[in-house]
Amino acid sequence: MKRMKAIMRALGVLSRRGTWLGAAAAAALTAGCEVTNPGPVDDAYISLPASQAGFVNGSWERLNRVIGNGAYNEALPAREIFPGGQTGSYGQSASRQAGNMGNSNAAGPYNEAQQARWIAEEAIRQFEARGDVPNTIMIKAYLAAGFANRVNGDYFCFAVIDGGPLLPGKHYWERAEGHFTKALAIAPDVDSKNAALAGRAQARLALANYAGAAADAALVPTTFVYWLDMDFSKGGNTNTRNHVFWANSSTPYRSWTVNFTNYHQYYADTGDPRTPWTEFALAAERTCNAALTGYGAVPCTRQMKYQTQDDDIRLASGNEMRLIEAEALLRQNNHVGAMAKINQLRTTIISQKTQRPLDPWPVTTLDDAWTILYRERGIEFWLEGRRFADLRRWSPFIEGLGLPGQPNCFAGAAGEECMPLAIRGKIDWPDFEAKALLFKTNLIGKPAQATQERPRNFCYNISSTERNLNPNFKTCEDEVEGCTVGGTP
Amino acid sequence: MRSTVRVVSRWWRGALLGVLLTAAAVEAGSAQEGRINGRVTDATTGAPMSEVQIYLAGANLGSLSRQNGVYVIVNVPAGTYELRAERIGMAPASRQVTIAAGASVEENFQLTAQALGLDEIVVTGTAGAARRREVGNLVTQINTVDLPDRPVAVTDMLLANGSGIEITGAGGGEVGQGVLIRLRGVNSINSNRPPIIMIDGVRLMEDNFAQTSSPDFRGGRGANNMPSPLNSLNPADIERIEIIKGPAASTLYGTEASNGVIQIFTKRGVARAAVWTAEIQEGTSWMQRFGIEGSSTFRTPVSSTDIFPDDYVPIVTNPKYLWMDPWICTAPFSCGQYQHIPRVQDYSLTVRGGSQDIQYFLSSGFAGELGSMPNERMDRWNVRGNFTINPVEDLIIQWNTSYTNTWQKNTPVGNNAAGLTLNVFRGEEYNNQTYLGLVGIEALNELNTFDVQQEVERTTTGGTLTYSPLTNLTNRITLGYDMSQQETRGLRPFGFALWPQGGLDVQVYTRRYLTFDYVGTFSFDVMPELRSNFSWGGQAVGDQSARVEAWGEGFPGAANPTVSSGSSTLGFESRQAVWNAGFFFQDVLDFRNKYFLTLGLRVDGNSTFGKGFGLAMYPKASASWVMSDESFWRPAFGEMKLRGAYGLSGRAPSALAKQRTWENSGLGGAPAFIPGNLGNPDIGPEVTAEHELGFDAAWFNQRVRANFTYYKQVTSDAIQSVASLPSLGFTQSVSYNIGKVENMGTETGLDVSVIQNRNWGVDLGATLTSNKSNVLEWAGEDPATSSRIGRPISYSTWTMFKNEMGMGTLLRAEGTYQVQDCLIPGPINPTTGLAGDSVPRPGLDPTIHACTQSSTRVYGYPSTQWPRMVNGTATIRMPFGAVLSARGEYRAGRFSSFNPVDLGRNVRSPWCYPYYVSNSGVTLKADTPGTFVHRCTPSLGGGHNRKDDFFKLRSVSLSFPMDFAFPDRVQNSQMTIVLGNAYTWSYSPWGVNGVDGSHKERLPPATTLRASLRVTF
Repeated sequence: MKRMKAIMRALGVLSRRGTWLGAAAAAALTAGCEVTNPGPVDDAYISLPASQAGFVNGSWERLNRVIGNGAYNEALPAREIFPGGQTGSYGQSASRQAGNMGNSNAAGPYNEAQQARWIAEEAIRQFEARGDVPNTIMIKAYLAAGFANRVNGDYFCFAVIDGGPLLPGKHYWERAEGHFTKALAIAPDVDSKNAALAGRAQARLALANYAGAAADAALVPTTFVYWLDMDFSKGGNTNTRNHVFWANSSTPYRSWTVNFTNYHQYYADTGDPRTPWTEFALAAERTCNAALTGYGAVPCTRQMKYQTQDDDIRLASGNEMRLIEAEALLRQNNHVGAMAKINQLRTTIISQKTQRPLDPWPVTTLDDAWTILYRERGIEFWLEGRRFADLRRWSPFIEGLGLPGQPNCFAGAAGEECMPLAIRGKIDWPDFEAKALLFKTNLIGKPAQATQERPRNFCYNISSTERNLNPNFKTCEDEVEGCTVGGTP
Repeated sequence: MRSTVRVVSRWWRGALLGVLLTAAAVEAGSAQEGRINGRVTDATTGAPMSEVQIYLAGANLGSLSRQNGVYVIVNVPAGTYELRAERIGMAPASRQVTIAAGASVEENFQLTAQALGLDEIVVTGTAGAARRREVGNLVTQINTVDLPDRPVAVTDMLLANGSGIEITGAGGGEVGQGVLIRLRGVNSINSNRPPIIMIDGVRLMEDNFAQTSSPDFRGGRGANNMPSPLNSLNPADIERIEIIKGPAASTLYGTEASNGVIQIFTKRGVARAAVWTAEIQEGTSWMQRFGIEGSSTFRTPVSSTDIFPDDYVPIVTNPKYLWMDPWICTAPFSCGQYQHIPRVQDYSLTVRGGSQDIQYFLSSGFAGELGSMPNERMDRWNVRGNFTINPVEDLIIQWNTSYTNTWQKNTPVGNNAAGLTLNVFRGEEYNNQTYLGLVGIEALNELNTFDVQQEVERTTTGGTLTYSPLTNLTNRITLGYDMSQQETRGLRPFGFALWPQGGLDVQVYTRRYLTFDYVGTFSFDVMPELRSNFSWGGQAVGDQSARVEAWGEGFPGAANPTVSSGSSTLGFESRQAVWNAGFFFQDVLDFRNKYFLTLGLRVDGNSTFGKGFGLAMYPKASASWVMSDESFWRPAFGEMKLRGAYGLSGRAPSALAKQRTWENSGLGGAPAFIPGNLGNPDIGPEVTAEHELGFDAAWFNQRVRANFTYYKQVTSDAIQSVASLPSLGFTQSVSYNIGKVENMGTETGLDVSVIQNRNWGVDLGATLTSNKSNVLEWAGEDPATSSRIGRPISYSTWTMFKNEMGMGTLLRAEGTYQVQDCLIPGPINPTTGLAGDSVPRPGLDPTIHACTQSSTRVYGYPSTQWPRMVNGTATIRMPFGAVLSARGEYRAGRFSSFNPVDLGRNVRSPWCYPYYVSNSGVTLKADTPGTFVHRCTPSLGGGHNRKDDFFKLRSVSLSFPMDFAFPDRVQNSQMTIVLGNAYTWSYSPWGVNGVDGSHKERLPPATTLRASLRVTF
């Protein structure tokens, strides 16, 4: 019994000391296990003055990715390029060849476009709250936010903002207009001011504010160009390379060709430096890397608009401004004035064939002027990732071009057309389905006529992650303005 | 890198010499007087017993019994001694002997087997040490002395006791390739970490080394070789391995221990004159023919939706396929034109001895292999020094240090565009689409100039200080350091067909584990017949890793380049540290030496836990009852112990799961911050609770020995990666503790001594393991329609659906367009092979959702449930000490995902080529029969589950004593001839998926024939 008491006494001491020991051990465990791993940048660092430029630059990096990829991926549904048969790396799937951007393509561009927008707008939120961020950084943030919203508007028919509900696509354009307006208010130099004006003109055109778009466009000189910096050599980052160049270059892919597109013959006829191409040097390179099923090897030609992986892509230009002015005049049925704007632009461009200014288009009828504008915008935007969205805007003009029920107008309510119905069916600049027997044969293993997959889907789908996880994401018919049965957000 | 190895080799020769001289110096002190000899036999059968330690306590003299049981101890000074005989698994014996100067004494021993080993000490899973009778959970023990087939890799040793231990190949049969180790199946969806591995109390790196690779945007995965860190240990150094398989046993190891613990114990010195053991192994290997087989066949369907039927269908052999024959040996010494004769070598020399105050075990070894393809080669050197020091009474210091250097070179294989196998498979078929644009054996052989090497250096040092100031109080402190450094080098030389300007990737990966461990044990009698062993302690383990990588390309010419030789270079670096620290208490209550109750608690902090989580608590409780010690138990009932245990342990989240971070993606040389990890500040470990129940028994005079264990594990707080909303900026998934899974199974072992007599013995053994897992809760999924809830954890092909036309194809229907992805085609018409009318996919509104994938059906077999694994051994003991042994493994209930149309990357099944237009591999001819439309459409091959049962005869060995060839000073000599990977049967015609990687572009495991001579003197 004495022995038991001694043991219990010892355990009692242990117990009292154990309480303190336990508390000390717990404190030591929690404190001693704190580890800061190098590499990732902690959230607390991101809004400090030293990192503000990098914060904004993050948005530009995402823009670089989404436009860099978009310029290539959309080129085929936009019929700017012709498939070389490659479906693997840097190839175009049969589905995309048929015009379906589809869900399998959605996650990448959706995430990148959303991140481009969110980073810039988050930076603006934090910077405006601080109130001490220099204008040189603020202007980059506003321009990034403006162009990021423009790109979202270009690629997506419906908008989702910060986990909110599904909205009509015009919300992107309205946000873009707001950001460009703020940029304009603080623009510290001419280039920034022109960029803000040009961006706002693009947004206003999409919002069917033609007068406002033309007023902004008029202030931008024709010589102005605002570039998106494509970057490969400096960082060795393949995601920010010029994919259009890379996919078409001889090594490693030659996955697409200029042949069979409108631009192939157009450049041969005019030497317009906006659509340059050339033959590959070696005979072995004159067919593309793979082959089209049912046809075989495809004649391959090389685009010359971009000549390295670092070649930049235009975000906005004075040339485009002239065409916006022309469109505004056409909206007023002033085809003479519009043609003057278009031909004014053409005469500033020197043909690589004749070494003289390009020939002006003849001024004919109003309907022909619409066709000429449609064609000129295609030439102007070639391989810049813009034609895809432009075709959606123009699809009411051209029977069977766009997906029935697909929203194509950013300004109004469901079903409202943003192009004049009077000229439907009168636009004529045939895509290569109508020009090339090769494309008619089959691309997805079906008989020729049945494979005419027009109309095409000119919208990326919203990613399944957003659709499935966003609690505010409502059904198309019930909740979303501008959404029609059969339309696919 | 090779030149460095040569320097190291010279250094090693010096080290080896040093080992020999040290041991010889110790031995020089021994006297030469009398002699003791005798014979050790099994008390039950009278059969001779080898590998028994016979020694004179306190005299630094001893010997090892030979295969025929005979032992000899020479140079014994005159006097009286205690002569002891010990062998793991046998009850020790001792007696007094008196020897006069110049006399010879004969002493024979008869040892009795301890069938259950109830009084053996185990240390893994207990605080301090415990007798096996006290432990309420299963502790598997592998004694190297019991392994008849002389394994050359530690991972092969683990196969020796297969109950609940699953070893699968990390890749194929390449030289130096690692394995994946699983104990008791899978109890986590997101983490596939291996068990904790310790050596002599020191934590080791347990993950396989990374494969040789290039920066992903440069392509070319080298050899896909992922060596196991376990295989840098020298098998000759190992005395035994203890394995505990789940949280019920591993609670005191805390976080990271829910996959079990493997602890390796190396040999220690003994207080007697030096005993040397030298072993030489030489052998060769060959490989089954492999490649794309023109006569592949399929079997009959198990359901109407199985379009890849199961009956054998003769296929026209396509002569355009290439086999790997020019680069392999298909029979012993019969090799293709580019292949040398493979060679397997293993040399080791060990010595153990010492005095009362200091004992030592020293070893050195070399293992070399010229593998089964031209570039396959490995050299491994290692050295070890284990020292036991008794500086003062009550204090023991054990310090062990080992160093290993492994260099290996491999053939570029795997799913690798610059690799040999994939290009050979694509060979002359499929429009000659080798990646280098050339065909023919000679051109393809140029791919072997892709030089893929790696060198692994490993240093492990650690010591345990045991201080026992009172007979009932013990303090044990362990410090350990394990450092592994892997340098990989993948060189595509200047002029290489797929990279004409050359490219070189060099990676240096360093992993360090630091171990600090303290355990105190105080024993006291609570009352008569009730004794308490109370333990307390703490442990901290640091895991630091760093990877530095450099890439250079565009070399100036054919000279041997470095990265700096490149016209352009890139560099990468990543580092990570994880610390875990915890303390524990445990009490073992011992009532009458037959009832035992253990209670314990471990509390852990971990650097991966979120700030909102705090500390993790892991309680345990176990009990055991030695029934055969009860008075009512009759000796005829044999021995029996019942046991049960319950405990928790954890699995840490990833290092950055708690933290919101940004990544610098960089643009134009300036910083560009991109949202990275959204982070979960409340993240904690996955906690697995396990209970296990079982018994150990021996019957019929120990001729039948059995054990059985049932276990069930429930992992609550299972970590689920949940996607983030892209519109909120962060696109990476976030970890949450919101899932729940269960994992259960049985483990049965049965050993029967069929024949037991002096000259002959036949022992048969088998272990049967069955296991299944089940997802119980998974956020965001409706149990009624979930593709995961109610399914096994590892089943991975639920979403592998394809539609008729391929993913994303648009179909025109009644003037509108629908995305067919949203529709489910009806059952396949077996005559036409076409799907029936489509119906909307449940749960999705096709007007809203452009579905991610078409939803048709899972091709093939139902899910895998209750897979079974049987490991069998058969040992025949013959006259003159010869032993014939065989070990096999059978697994059933396995299913694996496989694409029977795409056998490799764009390598179509040969039976389809008659139906493709112009060998396109894509477009089928118009008159293709309906069933073949499906069977030969590449997009339909994915998601096919195939039965993957197999049987492997892992080894057949014959060993016999060679004492007649050596003088008396040689205590033991044994020749062993081993045929490894002797035979494989697999249900699938393409080999065993996952176990040996013999399908697709990996190498099948080689068959080896080895002869080993081991001499102890």
